[in-house]
Amino acid sequence: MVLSVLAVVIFGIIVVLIGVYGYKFSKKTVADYMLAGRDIGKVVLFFYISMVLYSAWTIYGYPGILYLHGPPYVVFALSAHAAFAFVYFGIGPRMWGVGKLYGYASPLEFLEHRYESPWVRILTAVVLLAFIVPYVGIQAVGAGAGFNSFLGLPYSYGAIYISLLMAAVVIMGGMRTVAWLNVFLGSIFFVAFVGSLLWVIKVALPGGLTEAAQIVLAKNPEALSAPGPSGIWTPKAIFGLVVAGLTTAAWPHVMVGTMTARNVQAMRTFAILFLTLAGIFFYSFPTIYGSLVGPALIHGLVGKQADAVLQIVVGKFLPMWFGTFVLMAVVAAAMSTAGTQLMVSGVFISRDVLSKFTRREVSDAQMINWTRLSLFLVIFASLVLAFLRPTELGLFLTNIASPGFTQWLPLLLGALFWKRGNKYGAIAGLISGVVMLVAAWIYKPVALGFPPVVMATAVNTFMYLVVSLATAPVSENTKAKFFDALDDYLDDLARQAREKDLSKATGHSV
Amino acid sequence: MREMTKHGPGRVFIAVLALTLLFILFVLPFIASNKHLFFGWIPTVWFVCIIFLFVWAVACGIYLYRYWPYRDI
Repeated sequence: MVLSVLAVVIFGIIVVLIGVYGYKFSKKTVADYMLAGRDIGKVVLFFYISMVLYSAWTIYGYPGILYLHGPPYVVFALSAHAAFAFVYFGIGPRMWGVGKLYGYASPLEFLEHRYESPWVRILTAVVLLAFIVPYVGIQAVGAGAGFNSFLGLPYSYGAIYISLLMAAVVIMGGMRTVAWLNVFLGSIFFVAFVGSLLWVIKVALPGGLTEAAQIVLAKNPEALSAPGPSGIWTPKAIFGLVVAGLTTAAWPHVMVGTMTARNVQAMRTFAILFLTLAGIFFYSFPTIYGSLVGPALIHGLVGKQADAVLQIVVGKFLPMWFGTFVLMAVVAAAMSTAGTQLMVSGVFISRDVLSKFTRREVSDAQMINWTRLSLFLVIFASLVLAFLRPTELGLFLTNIASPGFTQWLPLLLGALFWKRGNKYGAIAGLISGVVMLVAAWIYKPVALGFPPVVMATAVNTFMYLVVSLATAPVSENTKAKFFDALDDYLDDLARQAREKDLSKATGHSV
Repeated sequence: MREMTKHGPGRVFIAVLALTLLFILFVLPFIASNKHLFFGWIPTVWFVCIIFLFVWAVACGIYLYRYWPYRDI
């Protein structure tokens, strides 16, 4: 017990030292603090964005839902991998290009100029913040649950521990430090996850996963297929899971990641690695834990208890020192996701909301300080929410946070790919989508039997299209700036890169 | 994605992604109740998702490295 606590303390000190190093290294400019100087390469980008998806939810929420309701829930996670990859090869190059060409530090800044309206920017920021802050809160919930189930310490200790660490890292170091830290945290996370599963199987399931499947099926023949042990996965519900997974493309912290990439090649490599190494290979491990190993070895967990199924398996079958390592993986996963979300929240508050209400020019140093102050506020708010702990982790992500993020997707895609989209459509779509979402939570029949995100996104998209077509388009200058000029910029970069490669290959300048 | 729609390989790439996506959206929900376990332990619904990601990865590997106009940026 003492050694475990000591290990957790040492882990925390290492994290803080990385934050201090990041602070010393950073250039104290807005682009460096908020977007890591737009210089994140392939490997760091892979860890940085992977660890956005792999949060405390991957350890506590996801296996818990699989344990309770069966494997069809995997559809959400794996379609989310496809969506993340799509963001980086389908949307990413234009987001990256618009950021480089016009110097934007936030996608919302782009939306303001594209739609010729500061209100699109402010409204979108407010909506995204309303959903992102609770999501930061569930990372603290994950750490609290880990401290409680493994160390036997009060839940609040874990929540406060991770909040303090997050504050130290993001406030000092900014986005570059968060990205680097994610490499360190991701390494711990992957090793602990893969190692613990292989070890548990060796110790407790000598017949391997086939034996686990047989044990699970002997208890309940419906456990490994739809509609699952609890009977909730109807075709309509699975369709909803696919849609919910695909809508993770709208997660603001994932979208901001495209603006931090060094080049388009980094995003291309990320997309393929994320589909294969992360989606097909790595995500098998939490899936196996939740749908096979957990139900085979641990019986009778209900409701929120199931969130801790992985921790309970590890605590029961592996030595305590390895359990501590797994606990650090929980903290690593929680911190990496929360760090990225916090940075994005801080940028949205300072740059996209507060700066709109001041008439004077704001220097880089002032903007960074505003962002730091915003980060303090977000951390405090998320900690309060963590103490309230309103729902199971898995359900929070799929039912509340992700559907909420989705509501800016139509206006964002429209801004990038549809010249006819305008501010009236964007605002009408966003408001109607959020209203529909809230209405469907309060009164389920409104969603016509689909998950709330499906109807809300459909209404949002419909309103965006119809209102945009019924009202005046944006000016020709704006269209030229964000479509023709952007296309020319990217085409020029591609041509220059090809000429450079050709001159390298031939040894002559072209 | 605008650049993909402007040449043949890009349109084929988008078509492959779209078709697999339609399969996952509209066919998978009805075959998820299949009780067959691949290799004795992989449930059908999960196996189909893995194949889906694999097809996307292969399509991306071919298109983004050989035909994508932005492949050198």
